[in-house]
Amino acid sequence: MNKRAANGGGGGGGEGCGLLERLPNSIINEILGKLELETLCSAACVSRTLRSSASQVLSSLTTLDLSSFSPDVQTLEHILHRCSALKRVTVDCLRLGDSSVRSFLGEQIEELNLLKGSSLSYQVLFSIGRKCPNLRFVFNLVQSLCIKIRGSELDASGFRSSVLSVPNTVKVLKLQPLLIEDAIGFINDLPYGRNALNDSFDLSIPFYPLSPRFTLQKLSLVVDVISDELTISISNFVPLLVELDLEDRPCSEPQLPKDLTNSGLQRLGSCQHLIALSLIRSKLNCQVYFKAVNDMGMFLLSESCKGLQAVRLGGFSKVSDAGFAAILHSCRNLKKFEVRNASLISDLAFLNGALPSLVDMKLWSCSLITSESVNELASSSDLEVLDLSGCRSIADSCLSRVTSLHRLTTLNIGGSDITDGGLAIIGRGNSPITHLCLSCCKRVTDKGIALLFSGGGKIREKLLALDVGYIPGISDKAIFTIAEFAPSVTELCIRYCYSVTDASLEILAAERRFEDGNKLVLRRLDLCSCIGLSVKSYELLKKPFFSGLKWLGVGRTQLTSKGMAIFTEIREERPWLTLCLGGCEMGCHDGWQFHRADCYQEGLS
Amino acid sequence: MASSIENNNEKLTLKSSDGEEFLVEKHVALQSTLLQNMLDSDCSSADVIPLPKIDARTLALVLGYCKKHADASSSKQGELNSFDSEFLKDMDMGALFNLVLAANFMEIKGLLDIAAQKIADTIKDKPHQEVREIFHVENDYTPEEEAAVREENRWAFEGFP
Repeated sequence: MNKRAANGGGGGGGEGCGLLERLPNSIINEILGKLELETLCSAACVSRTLRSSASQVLSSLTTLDLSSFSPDVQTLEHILHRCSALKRVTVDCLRLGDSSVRSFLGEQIEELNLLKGSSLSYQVLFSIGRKCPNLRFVFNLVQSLCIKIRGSELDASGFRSSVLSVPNTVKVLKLQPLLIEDAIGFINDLPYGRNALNDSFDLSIPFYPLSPRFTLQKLSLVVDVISDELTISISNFVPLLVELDLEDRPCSEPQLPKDLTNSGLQRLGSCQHLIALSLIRSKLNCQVYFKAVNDMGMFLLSESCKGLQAVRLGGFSKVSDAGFAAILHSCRNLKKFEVRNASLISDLAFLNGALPSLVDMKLWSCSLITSESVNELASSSDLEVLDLSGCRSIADSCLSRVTSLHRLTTLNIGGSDITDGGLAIIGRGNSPITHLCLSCCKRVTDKGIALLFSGGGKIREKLLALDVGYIPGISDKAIFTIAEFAPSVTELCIRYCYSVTDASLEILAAERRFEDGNKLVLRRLDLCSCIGLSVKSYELLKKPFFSGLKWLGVGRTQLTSKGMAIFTEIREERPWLTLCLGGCEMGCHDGWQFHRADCYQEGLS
Repeated sequence: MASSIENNNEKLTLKSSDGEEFLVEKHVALQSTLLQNMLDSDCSSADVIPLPKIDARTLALVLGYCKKHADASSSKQGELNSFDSEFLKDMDMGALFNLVLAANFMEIKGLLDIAAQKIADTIKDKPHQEVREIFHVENDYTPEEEAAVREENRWAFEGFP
């Protein structure tokens, strides 16, 4: 190649005006097409050319994900009226009603995710069924618990007819919450099942040829009580299931026969295609467990479901190490394994025999688990998610092994016995950790947070979300450290940090630029129960402070005692900021906690 | 480099808008779909191929990219990726625009892609006033129009007051 020195002709940089005018539209569209939605819409304000290009890019989008914030009706309209080719839509519906959802339903929609639909009614289901005949993939309607509590208007038959209008082509169905009768009735009424059965359940009924018409593959239900009757219905009527996700939230101790037993669990084994199984008994309403299931149930399940790749088990208090080890050892393709609230599980479940190469491991509130198990688990170099929330016997000694995992992105050691010394180890570690939860680690102090970011490890540049809630030793000092040394953190939880004062809020509120030109932009901030914040600090929630903030939790602070007026003001000024006064977890989580953006009374009362 | 190519030793000459000539090995030139099509048709490799829209400085950069990718093809992708990001590092906006135009004209998909991505990254999370400066764009909205378009997209730039 013959290279000669460029003679400077033909405009390198600095030609002055109109750089953009030199580009043909196709290239501008190519560039804008690489932007995320926010920057794309913001770029439309630059000039007419960019606006028309942005419109072209929007109109050709097939996938739209609006889950990072809670759009109001108008914002949604502004965005959607420019998108005409959407096939896959994800929308956070916290602030939307039925009519907003109806407005974008149409024949072209193949995949629909409606998150936090606490203000939606079951009527929406009917509209979806009617207007989206081509819906194929996800149908994920997370209903709010309040509908069931408050909604006597929803009689079972009304619910069933609306669900049945969902097109046959749907492969994934997620509904919550339901009464168990509704759930069983609904499963039995699936078009597939109708031909198969005329009267009540009979365990001896043989399988009928599978109807190609209704091929539900993923089913997710939240019910009041999971019982054998439900698992039997599922195994009879939707045996082609690939993913099954059941959660219950009993209000009182379930009594046999209305409970899950070993034989009910065994029935799930007849779903031969099952690769993901989740059975969770939530302690949301009262302290309850699957008391009628023991190790035998797990043996039976592990024998018949060897193809499982993801298993979540919550509330199995009678299952011991042998039962859990059976799952680990027979499901050799297991990638995700999660156990919650299992008081009997100990290190023995993990120490005897080779473990499958797990990618995602969660042990919640398993108090007998110690660092020994964690060291064993960390021998799987594929591990990306390690969640040991509430395992209080876990100590610093496992952390050097854990932070050498080169794929680990999420580490939750909330409620463990970790100390500042442990944080120093994480601070030196090589894992690309983006999410770190230290919530409830009582031995952690400001010094630990400083060590976390001064160790020269990867965490400083990678960390996106940090939870230091419920730690008495966290004060303004720690927050200063975070504001100064953690440039990429966008999500910060400091709930129940009583020593945090206005000074912290001030430093977080101000716009800060780092040497490399990046800014600390907090998207979500949880200040719930930070009683050290004074009433005056609400001034810091106004513009121009906290630019870019999408979610703010201020429940149970002195701010809420000041009355509605200030929040009305903030809300008018920043309509896309979701202000949560109800004390929800970050982002109001699933939205099942009853909570509407305009319902400030809820939090104040 | 494969020895067969050495033996063929076929080269062609490209001429930039400002008259400089570049002697390029054929397998390097093939990175460009435009040149490939020209070679496939009757265009003789002895001819000088004029590229009236591309100046010498940009063309040198483009050919540097093509050479690296032609020689490294099928070898390590990771090495190419780091070359790509190093290649565009610290390049000013004017040079980037020249590059993206050249890649578009010469139909070099990979280069077009990384250059467009680089430009997109530069304006990511930037307020529109700053984007105007970066692109040297005049605000051609009337005040009323601007108010309307800002209102419509207010949610998006809330982050940059």
